Amino acid sequence: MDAGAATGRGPAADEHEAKLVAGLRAGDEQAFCDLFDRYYGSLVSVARRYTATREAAEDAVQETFTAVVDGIDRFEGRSSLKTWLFRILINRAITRGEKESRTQPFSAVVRSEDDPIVDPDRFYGTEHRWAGFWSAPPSANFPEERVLGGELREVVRSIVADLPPQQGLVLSLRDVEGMDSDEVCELLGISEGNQRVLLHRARAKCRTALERHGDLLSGVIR
Amino acid sequence: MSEHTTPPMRCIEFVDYVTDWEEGALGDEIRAEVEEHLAFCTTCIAYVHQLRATVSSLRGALDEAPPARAREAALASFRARRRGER
Repeated sequence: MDAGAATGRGPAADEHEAKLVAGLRAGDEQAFCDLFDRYYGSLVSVARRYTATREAAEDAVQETFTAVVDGIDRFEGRSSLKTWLFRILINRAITRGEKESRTQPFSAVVRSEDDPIVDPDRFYGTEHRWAGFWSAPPSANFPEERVLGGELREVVRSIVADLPPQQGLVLSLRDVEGMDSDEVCELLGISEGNQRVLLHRARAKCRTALERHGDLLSGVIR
Repeated sequence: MSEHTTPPMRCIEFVDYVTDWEEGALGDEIRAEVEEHLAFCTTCIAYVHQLRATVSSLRGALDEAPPARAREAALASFRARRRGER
C-alpha cells in the first residue's frame, strides 16, 4: 500500500479552466452559467462557516460572482481560477460574518482538540496481551463506495455540515474541491501542520460517522 | 528495520499517523514503522481503505443546483455589467 492519493489539477482541468477564463473575458453568458452552476453549492457551504445565516452566505456568493466578472481581466492565472474564486468568497464571507459579529473560524488559534482520533475503547487495554491493537475493528458494514456516491450522498453532506468550522473548511477545500495543501494553507492562512491536523480529524470523523450509518442500516446498532 | 529500540508500532498509534503518512509528511524513521505495521496488520489496512473510500465519497459532495432565483439574480448582474462595460 502506497502513501498519497491523486489530487489537484491535470491537463484536462487546466484546459477547461483556460476556456472558462477566455469565455468570461469575452462576456460569454454560457461560460458564466457554467462557472456559477459548478461552484454555487460549494461556495455557499464554505461561506456558511463564516456567516450566521444561509442568507448572508448566499449574498457573499452573489458578491463573489460580481467581483469575478469585474475582475476577470485582471486575473493573471498565478493561482487556479477555482482558488481565486474561493479567495474572493472567503474575503466577502469574513466581511459579512464580521457585520453579524460572528466569531470567525480562524480568528482564534487552530484548536488542538484532545479527543482521540478513534475511540480508545476500540483497542485492547493495557492489561491485555494485545494492548493497543484493535478489539473492535473497523466495521464490515461500512458502506460500499458505489452507495457512498449514490443513495448516501445526502448522508455524506450532512456529516460534512456537522463538522466543526475549522475542520469543515479544510475538508471542503481539500477533499470536496480537490485543492492541494499549499492552496488551502494560503487561502485559510494556516500552517501545513495545522492544516494536516484539521484534515486528519475531519476525515476520521467522517469515516466514523459513515461506519455508524452502515451499522445502523445493518441493524447492528440502533 | 531489523533492530527495534522501541516496541513495534501498535494500531492505536498507527491511526494517529495515517494522514501524515498519506500526505508524505513523516520522517523516514516513523514512515518505516508505519509501513512495517501495515505490512502485517490487515485490520489497519481495512481502516486505511475505509478512510480512502470516505475521501473519495467527498469529492463534489457539496455540489447542488443553484436555486432559480439565485441564478437569475447572478445572470441579471452579469448582463447589466456586460452592457455597461462592453
